[in-house]
Amino acid sequence: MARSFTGKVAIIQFPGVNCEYETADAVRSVGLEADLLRWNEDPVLLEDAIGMIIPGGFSYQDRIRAGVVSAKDHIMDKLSELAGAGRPILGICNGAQVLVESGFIPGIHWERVDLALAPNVMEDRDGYYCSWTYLLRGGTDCVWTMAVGAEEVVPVPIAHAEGRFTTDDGEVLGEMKKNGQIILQYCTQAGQIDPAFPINPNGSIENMAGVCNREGNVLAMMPHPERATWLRQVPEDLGGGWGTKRKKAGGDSGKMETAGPGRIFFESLKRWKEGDA
Amino acid sequence: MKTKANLWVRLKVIDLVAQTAWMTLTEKMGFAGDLCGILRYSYWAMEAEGENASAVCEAIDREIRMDSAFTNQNKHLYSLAVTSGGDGAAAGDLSIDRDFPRVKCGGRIFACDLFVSEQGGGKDEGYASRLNARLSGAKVTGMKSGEVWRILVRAEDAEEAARKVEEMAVTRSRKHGLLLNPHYQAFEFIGTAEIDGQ
Amino acid sequence: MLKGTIQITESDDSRVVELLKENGLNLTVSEARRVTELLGRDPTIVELTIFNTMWSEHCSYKSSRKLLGELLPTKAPNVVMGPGEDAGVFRFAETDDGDWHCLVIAHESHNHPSQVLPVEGAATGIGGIVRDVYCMGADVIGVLDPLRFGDPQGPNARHVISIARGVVDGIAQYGNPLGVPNLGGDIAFDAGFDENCLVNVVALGTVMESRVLRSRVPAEAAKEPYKIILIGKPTDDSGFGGAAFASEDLVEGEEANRGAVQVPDPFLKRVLAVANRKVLDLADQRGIKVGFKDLGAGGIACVTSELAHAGGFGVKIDLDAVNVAAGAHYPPPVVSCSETQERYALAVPVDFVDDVLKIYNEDFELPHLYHGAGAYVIADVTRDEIYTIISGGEKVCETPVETITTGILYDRPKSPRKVLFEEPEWQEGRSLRDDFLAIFGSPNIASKNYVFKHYDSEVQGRAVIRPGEADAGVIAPVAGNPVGIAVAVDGNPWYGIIDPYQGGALAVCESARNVAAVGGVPSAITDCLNYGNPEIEEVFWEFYEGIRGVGEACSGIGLLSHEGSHPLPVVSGNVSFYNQGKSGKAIPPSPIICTVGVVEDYSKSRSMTFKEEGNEIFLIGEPLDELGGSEYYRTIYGTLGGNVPEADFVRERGQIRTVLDLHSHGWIRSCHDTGQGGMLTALAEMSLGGNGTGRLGLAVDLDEFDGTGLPPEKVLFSETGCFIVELSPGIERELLAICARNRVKLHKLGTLKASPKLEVVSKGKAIASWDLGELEDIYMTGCRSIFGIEKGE
Repeated sequence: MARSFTGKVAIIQFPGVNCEYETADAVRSVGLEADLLRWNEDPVLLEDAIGMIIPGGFSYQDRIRAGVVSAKDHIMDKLSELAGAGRPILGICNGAQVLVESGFIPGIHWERVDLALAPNVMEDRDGYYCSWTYLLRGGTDCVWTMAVGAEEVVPVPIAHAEGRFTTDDGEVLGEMKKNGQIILQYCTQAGQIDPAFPINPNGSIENMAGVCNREGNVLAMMPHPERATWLRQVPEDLGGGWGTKRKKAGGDSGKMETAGPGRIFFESLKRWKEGDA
Repeated sequence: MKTKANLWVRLKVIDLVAQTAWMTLTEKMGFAGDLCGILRYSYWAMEAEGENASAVCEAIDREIRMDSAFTNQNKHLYSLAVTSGGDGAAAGDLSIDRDFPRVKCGGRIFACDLFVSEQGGGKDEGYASRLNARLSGAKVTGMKSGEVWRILVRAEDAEEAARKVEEMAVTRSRKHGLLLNPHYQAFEFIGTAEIDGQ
Repeated sequence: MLKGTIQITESDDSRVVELLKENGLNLTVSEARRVTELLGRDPTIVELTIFNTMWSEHCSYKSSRKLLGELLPTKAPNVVMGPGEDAGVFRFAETDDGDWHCLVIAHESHNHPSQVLPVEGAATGIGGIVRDVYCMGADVIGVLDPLRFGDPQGPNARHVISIARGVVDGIAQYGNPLGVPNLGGDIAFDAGFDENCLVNVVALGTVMESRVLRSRVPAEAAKEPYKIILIGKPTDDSGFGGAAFASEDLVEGEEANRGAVQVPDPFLKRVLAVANRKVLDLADQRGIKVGFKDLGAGGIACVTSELAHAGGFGVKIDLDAVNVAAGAHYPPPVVSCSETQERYALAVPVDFVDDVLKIYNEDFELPHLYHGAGAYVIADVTRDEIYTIISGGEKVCETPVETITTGILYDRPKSPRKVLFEEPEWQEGRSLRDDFLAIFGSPNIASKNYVFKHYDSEVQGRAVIRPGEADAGVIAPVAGNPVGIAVAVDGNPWYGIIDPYQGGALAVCESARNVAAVGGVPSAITDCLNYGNPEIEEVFWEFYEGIRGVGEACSGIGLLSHEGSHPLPVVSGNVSFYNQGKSGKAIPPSPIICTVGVVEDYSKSRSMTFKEEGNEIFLIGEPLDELGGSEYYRTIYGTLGGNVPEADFVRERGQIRTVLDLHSHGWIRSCHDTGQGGMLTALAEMSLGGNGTGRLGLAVDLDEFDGTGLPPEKVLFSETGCFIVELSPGIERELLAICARNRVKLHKLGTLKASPKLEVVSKGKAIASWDLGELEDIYMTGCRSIFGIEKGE
């Protein structure tokens, strides 16, 4: 039986990633098909895929620097080619680190490394930080945020030690802003952009949580939407509208299995695909 | 008296990070043949004041031996090199011969020590105050911490060696550079020496 | 004569001592002679090394096995596999086609390695325990860490804090990359752990009953030839002698300890887990029977002998086929017995060997991802029952398998520890307000949220209740099925000091209470029994009393999910002796219990945070004058006291049933048990919630407790196990009926108010009050100075 990704979303399985299964489930939750592709399989298989997701985890154990070893893998040649042709690519957490270290993001100068995802800078703590955050859509057009409303506050959890978007190139930053590439920003539950910890949980410049390329088909985001794809995944004590919704669903396992806030990113891909078709 | 004290620490067991760097540089980035060996140290360059260099060395040594933020002798080897002047960058007696990875290269071989540190973050102040809280007979007045990559590279001369190391190290694009991202990391060469080719 | 034979028979005792020492063996002279007797000849060095490991306390349970068998109930209708395999297995949900979803659970300690190298010690602790679950064919779905550290404010504070931070770091560094969520754990501090911390780890997994793997060569090997494949990291000398290391007194900083600490590699483990899944799925598809076991204590020798013996076969090992670390040459005893991490052994039919090797070595490129790693055929399964090791073409070990696995048993003497624990002299006129602030911010009570946020509790996307949000963690393990798994760990060191029996019994009660609080029916427990040197009679008595307590509590609480009289089964566990420091003083007796509860509908599991103004707060149960070992006595009076809580299994069972009844009606809005710090601590925690952000207030009416005749402090700080529940108004009548049916006491504590204030009211007057803001400050920051980053001083 020949492997085929026709009509499917390919989840790229670098060695050491650990969110590949739930990411595939999240894709399936909107009615799209998903399958895993190992890093050393034939990249030509990707040519028929709807899009690609590089899931979270610790590819190559984050050795040297998170994402950088995967960025040098052969399969990234094919991703580079497909990204250039407009194919949607989403990098979540470690996947975002891979995209930044590959220079796909911000990608103004394609494959030039113009950003870093540096170690978190937090008040009173360092290292790994696992917590829920709130996101607000900024920027303009991106395949992966098409379905997100302009004022909509989307709670999604983060879990990382190196998630601080930064650059020492002011010109690039200016370009990114001008192009509307800062597509997701950390905010308060009321939607205010505030640089204070823990609203901005890692010290990212401009509260950056997700950055897309100029063309809007590639998105690197640190928060994990696949961990917020069902209502049951939302913590009962979470503040804001989604927390209230979750509390109200207490005792109703049917409601618990309905959509959570993070599903919107996968819905966006589906909407893009349907528009495309 | 002002004294420089440089602490080098490395793992006794195999360093998987150095091993991954080796494999990535040689197999995916085309440096096979140029790269002959790679080692990684944790590194602290301190400036301290005390009665004399040996008193400073003793005082700092006493503390870092006790503090796992610097060393844990169950897993680390370390060398504390104290100089009053000079570059003081030599890793002392931390012999490199035993360590993987290292291959035989023809030609002239240079060992380049590339010091990589994080910009900002306040870690250095933390280390300094941590030491000063407990030091007796010495006071740390300056601190720079980070990693040193000791890269054994084949080159015609020291200049070419440094150029090759920079190419390997500084990530400029997807296909170029591995060991540091200049958007949040700084680098500096703290020592280059020709070693006997084998 | 086999190669490397050691002359035991001809040597006198002092010479045997020398011989054992020269070869780095911990066997006693009589044990060495016993080996000779079993073999019927002098042993080789490889054989002696194997016995040295197999007869270590860690592997043989030689001091504990007899008592464990006598005192702990392990059989119940839900149990698929009890103690004896790598992990316990029990059923929790039936599928439409009659198969069962099973939970797999294992529980171990990694105490000595963590004291010496906290980061690696704690990390390899997780590494070892998840392997035990993986090798049952299961997917690992969570880990928990019960931790005991020394006094962070005492004379050894600096060392204690550095160990505590290292351990937390190690758990994060291993667990996070592995992609297994942290479901909780608990942390206790006491000077008794200054020189010997406890790092216990629990791992949970799920597997279908039809696909549970056994750690044995399958019966099919009688008909077709089978091979044993060694998978994973190249063998090196790390962890050589680890099992023996865990079975002797800890001498810190000694060179000798070092080799016994293994080097963890969660990356390789993750890749192995994914590759293993491919192999096992392929075997299942093709109907191929395999045997699977992880390498832990005793390395290759232990795993191959146990696989062979359990299946009734022999095995012939070619040591030269073992992949060792690059460029290294290790002597045969090291290759046979080293405890290198991240390895598994798989017994497969010859026809399947190539497929297996391809998956590991080509599809997942193990040799490329880690220098020298891979899958290699190292042994033939034989139909005789002989255990043979060949090295350099010569036999270095040859004996019936049974000889190796037979084990050894000691009947240790015990005698009661005679210490008198007395109640403190009662002090009138203390400030309740100040006393509670001292308690609520103390390291043992204050929120561990700061620590939990170092761990990935979200990965796999199954979290329903996260660490610190309620008494137990809850996950939804089966997609599309409302069944939930609740899990909690417990063990109070201070009760055990005063009365080791109560220490064991109450650990079971408390953890069962914790899972019931979120609607879990206690369904199985695991125990990790941490004690001092069992050769000391008082220590062995503490151990005996502890497991007697555990066993009686299991029978007393019972298996509430099943009709008839069944115990709450102990499905897995571990004994850790020799926990003491250089001073020779044993740690407080520490039986640590993990209870797993099955939640019928996870949507009814609620966080402990108060939910809504106007809801009513009740206490199920009643505080008694038993504050021995309590946070109140220790923090305020600086003493343990004497009246330790007495486990009352009938009462516990009744209270648990009551709470489960309320859950099944869906009436519970929030629930929390009263444990450490008593009722007032529990109420403050419910007001604030796990994140410290709750702001609903309550005035606690003390007049309710006039009948107890206790002063307010004893009512508020007694650690008698009770439940606090929040219910919507209007169901008091049903509540009373349920309590009466279960014969439990009920007290109404008050009604939730919007004002963010906790008050204690007596005779209509507030006798103490606290703003929730000030409580949040001390509660959320109380542990930060211990685990927080170093700030400029």
